[in-house]
Amino acid sequence: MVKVLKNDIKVDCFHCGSACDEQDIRIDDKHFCCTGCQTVFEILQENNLCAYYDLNQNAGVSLKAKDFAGKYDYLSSSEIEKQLLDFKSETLANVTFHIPSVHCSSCVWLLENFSKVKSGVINARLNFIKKQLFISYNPTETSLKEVVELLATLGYAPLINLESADKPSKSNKEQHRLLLRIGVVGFCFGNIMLLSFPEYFKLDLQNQVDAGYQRFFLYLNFLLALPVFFFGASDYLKGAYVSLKENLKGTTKVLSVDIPIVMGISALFIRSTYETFVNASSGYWDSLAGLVLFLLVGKWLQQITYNYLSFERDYKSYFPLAVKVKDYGFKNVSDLNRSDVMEIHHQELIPADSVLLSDMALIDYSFVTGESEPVEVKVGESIFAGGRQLGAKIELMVEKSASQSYLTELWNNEAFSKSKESRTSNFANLFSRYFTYTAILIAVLTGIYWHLNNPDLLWTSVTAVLMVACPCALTLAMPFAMNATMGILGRNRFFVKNQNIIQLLTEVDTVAFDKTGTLTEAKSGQVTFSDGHLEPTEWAWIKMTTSQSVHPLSKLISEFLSNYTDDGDISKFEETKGQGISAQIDGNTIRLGNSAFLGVDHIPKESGQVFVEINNEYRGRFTVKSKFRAGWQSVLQRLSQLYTLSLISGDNDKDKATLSAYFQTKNIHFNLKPQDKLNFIQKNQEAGRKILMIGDGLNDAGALKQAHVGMALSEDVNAFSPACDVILDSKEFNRIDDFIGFSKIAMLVVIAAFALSIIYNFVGIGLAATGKLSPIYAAVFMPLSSMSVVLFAVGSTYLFAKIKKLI
Amino acid sequence: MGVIVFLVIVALAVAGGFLVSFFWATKDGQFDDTYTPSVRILFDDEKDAKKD
Repeated sequence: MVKVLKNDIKVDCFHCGSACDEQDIRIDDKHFCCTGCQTVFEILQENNLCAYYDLNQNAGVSLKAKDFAGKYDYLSSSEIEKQLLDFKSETLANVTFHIPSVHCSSCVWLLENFSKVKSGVINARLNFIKKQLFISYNPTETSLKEVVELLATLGYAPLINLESADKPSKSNKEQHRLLLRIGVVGFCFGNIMLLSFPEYFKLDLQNQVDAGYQRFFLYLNFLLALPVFFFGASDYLKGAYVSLKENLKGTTKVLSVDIPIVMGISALFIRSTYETFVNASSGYWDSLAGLVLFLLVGKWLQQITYNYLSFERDYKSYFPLAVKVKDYGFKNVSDLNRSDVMEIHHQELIPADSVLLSDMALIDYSFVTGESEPVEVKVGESIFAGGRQLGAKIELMVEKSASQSYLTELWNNEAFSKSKESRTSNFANLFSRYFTYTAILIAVLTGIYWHLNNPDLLWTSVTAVLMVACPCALTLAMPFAMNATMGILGRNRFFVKNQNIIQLLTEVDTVAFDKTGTLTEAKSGQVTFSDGHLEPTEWAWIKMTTSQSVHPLSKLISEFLSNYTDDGDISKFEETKGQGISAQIDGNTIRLGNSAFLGVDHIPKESGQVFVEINNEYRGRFTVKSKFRAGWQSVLQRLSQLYTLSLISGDNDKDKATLSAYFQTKNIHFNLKPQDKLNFIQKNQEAGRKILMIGDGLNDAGALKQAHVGMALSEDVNAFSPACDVILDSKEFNRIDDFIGFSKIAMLVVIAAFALSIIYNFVGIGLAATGKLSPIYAAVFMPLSSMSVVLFAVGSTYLFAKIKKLI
Repeated sequence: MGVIVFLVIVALAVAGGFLVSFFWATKDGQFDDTYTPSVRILFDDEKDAKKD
């Protein structure tokens, strides 16, 4: 029972929950907003999978205006198929997809029951956090193309791009190693604690039985401490060794923070071994194990990141996997050769620098260069990779392979080969240098003092000083406070790549903005009509005419007029690319376009203007201006009080007048190519500036990578954004200054926690230097100081977040 | 006296067994996805109900 009707009562789509305003399809008592949603419902009903809707109301993904007919044809090519599959045999094929639209438990349920919808699918497993779907199917019963098409029909279109063909290396190996270390050290720590208890409760060493026990416990502790020191702490030992070696060679003057840590744990280990075997008295085994455990937990926190976001994308995740080559079939984009002839359809991306063979093409370069208006290309002219064709199908001849093109050349720049992790912040460097030297100095002074006064106590006090000076609380405060900060910022849709970025963010002194897509909204414009007056029917005619065209200006105008309903028959629609459009509606001629198209040269030319002519009579003009993001003026105002602001845009200078109020004229740059942006950042860095680059597209990729901190603005954080350090949801754009401000507060909290732990260290060193640090003191004092510093750091971070209304 | 030494060693061996199973679970990827299983466990197994 399917009825299509228009009604005035607002109803929501049963499948996806969006309002059924354009269409309202009814099946029984259920409403659907489009045929896509209806189809999904019918598929689910047929397969008895309607529990999908019981788990979450309106769980579906909206399928309005989704058309993927023919989009996945390339998957039927066995060559392309082979590149995507993880494994293939006669009867079994495995594939892993990334599915961005996964969002709720219903999605998990449906996708894991995918074998019930599609015969031939053997098993489907979803990793919700990473949005990865693992599917195994029988290639004799179904094909990769059918599987992908059905997924897309259900609203779970997999993301397939050039990057999908590169099988990701197993990055979780590192994480596994760390988990194993924590497991082993935790195990040893617990057992050492238990075995040390008798010591705390004072065994009676005169008693033969007690002494025997004590020896047994001590040796066992020693055995348990071996994996703690040699396996659990091995990263620190290696780190300290490498740093020491580099310092001796003179290649660097930075002392890694591993050095004081290793001094501390080595002192603990050696002293405890001595106590165990020579003095037959208990050592500091429990302190050693506890310390290493805390350090590893801190390290684990430090590597936590947003698994579901990708901060490392390059052009490969923007480019399609395959393109249709004439007389060949589908070909992987990386395998394109010179003089291959590609066929590109409307809205498809051009994957390699090429020459146009068709008569005319209209190419939208906005993502690559930041130019907001499409460029008209004639036969024989070259087209750069990364542009999108608007309009009819075109044929192109490849000039250069995909990795050699004008755009991808940017990725060969050295900015992309060096890792940002090596850029540690000044703060950590300064700290570890002074701390290490101070600790060594105090140890030496203590040694001299006791050597003069009571040589018996010399070694006990020197090792005690080194043990207590181990910056355990310090190294814990940072990861815990930064982890809390990351969490708080993430809740506000400000996602930082890792903890280090928060420190880097506080050091910034200059902010560089991109314009298109960053200060302005990517796909909208502000339309105004002036210089005339039109009747409602005439508005409707204009709307009907513009809705026929794919040109961005036409689209904006037809969106601006979306209140008018179509009325009349349209015929003779004609589009002169890059000039204008014309159509006949009920005998009236409607023409829209630039001044050359209409021949109205008496009006001053300005970009973004569309002139209107009805029945050969000039009736007025539309002016389309970039629409700036909400609150952009106030955020720039606030930022300009703290930072030097620059604008680096790939677009033309039509918005210069609007922008010059917020940027100094010498800091506004237009018509920059991607490489120019990178050079701009580089030049400023050489002048000693630390730049925060805010951009959105591939054209900013080089600058984002080169900058001290690169921040990408994104309408949908799961969708494509170029490689960067921070991904910010564009809805939160006007709060950028709050976020930077909060990271500064977090840094202050860390410094306060450091101060607190230094006080602890001095108390501890005081005890140690006077020779009063007994094992039981150490066992209680060290964990207690670490815990209180961590609690202080995390607690005050949350407190300040509350005050700043971030949580 | 002997029995305490024996018990401590047995306790360590039992705990060691758990440590080995932790190794196995980690290598097997049990901690790679810590969220989806919490959703998955709530689904009813409806296989029988559907055979009507």
